[in-house]
Amino acid sequence: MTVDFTYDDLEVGYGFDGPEVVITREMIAEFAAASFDHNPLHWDDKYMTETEFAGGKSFDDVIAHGLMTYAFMTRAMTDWLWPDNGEHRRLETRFRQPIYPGDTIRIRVEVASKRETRAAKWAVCQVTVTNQNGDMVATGDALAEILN
Amino acid sequence: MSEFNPDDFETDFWKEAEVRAGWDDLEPGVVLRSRPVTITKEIIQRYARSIGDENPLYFDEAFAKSTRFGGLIAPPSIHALFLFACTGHDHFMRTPGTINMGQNWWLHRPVRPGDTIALEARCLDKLIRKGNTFAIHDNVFRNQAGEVVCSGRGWTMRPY
Repeated sequence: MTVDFTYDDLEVGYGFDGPEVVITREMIAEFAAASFDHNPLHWDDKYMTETEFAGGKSFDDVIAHGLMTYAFMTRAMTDWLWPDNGEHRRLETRFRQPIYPGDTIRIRVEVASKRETRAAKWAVCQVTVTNQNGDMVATGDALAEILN
Repeated sequence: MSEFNPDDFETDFWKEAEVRAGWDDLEPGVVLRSRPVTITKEIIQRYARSIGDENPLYFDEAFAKSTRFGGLIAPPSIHALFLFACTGHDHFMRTPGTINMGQNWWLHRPVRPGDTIALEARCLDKLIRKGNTFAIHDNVFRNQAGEVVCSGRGWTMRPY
């Protein structure tokens, strides 16, 4: 197996691009079926555009699941770490703006800091999700346990 | 609660929506009803495909066996699925208009095909901010050996 980097090699500020995803209604429907989250937020146009949500606002369209975005952010980490570089241990996210069908989202990961504890070596990573307009639609903090 | 059957899952979240706890009814700290779910390779792979993730650790048994994982595993975000599969139709997370604001999960060990995952789920806290009502969800996922596979919190904005 291959080790691409070690804890000592890894520099704070190192960054890489994760998946770039074009969101479609079909994808949202598939995620709903696969995750069993059938909330009408994700399929019911009439409900979304005619309901007054918090703050008196309605949505422009159905929205993607927050947990689908979480899955893409997670994938950025596992594609980088698995199988031999490290473990993806934690991801804390904030879903900041809705993601709609037709949006293109890009995931970016940057190493914010490093830390050795008694038993392991860690990289704290900032994960950002931006859409085609450059809006930051989700952000996250991930914790990678570096194995080598 | 009856056993989980993926082909028999109630997908109409409007149905009997009135039986679910609204924000006023949520009792922080009280563990909610749930059921263990045995996860198959097929369910894992359908989930992985839905997020466009074709990592061979989810699909290629021979490859997965040759790695330190020792066999097929599930994507770490699979817990999204257990939030719904392990809970009942009356769980407040299904309330139409529930908006996920954020999520944090600590991943202790991978979920594998054939694992039976039990979810300890509760509303841990509830709050009002800028005039909106929110709930803090607290979730611990364990496998059939009683080992914690994942634990964490989420927070949702409540429609009512």
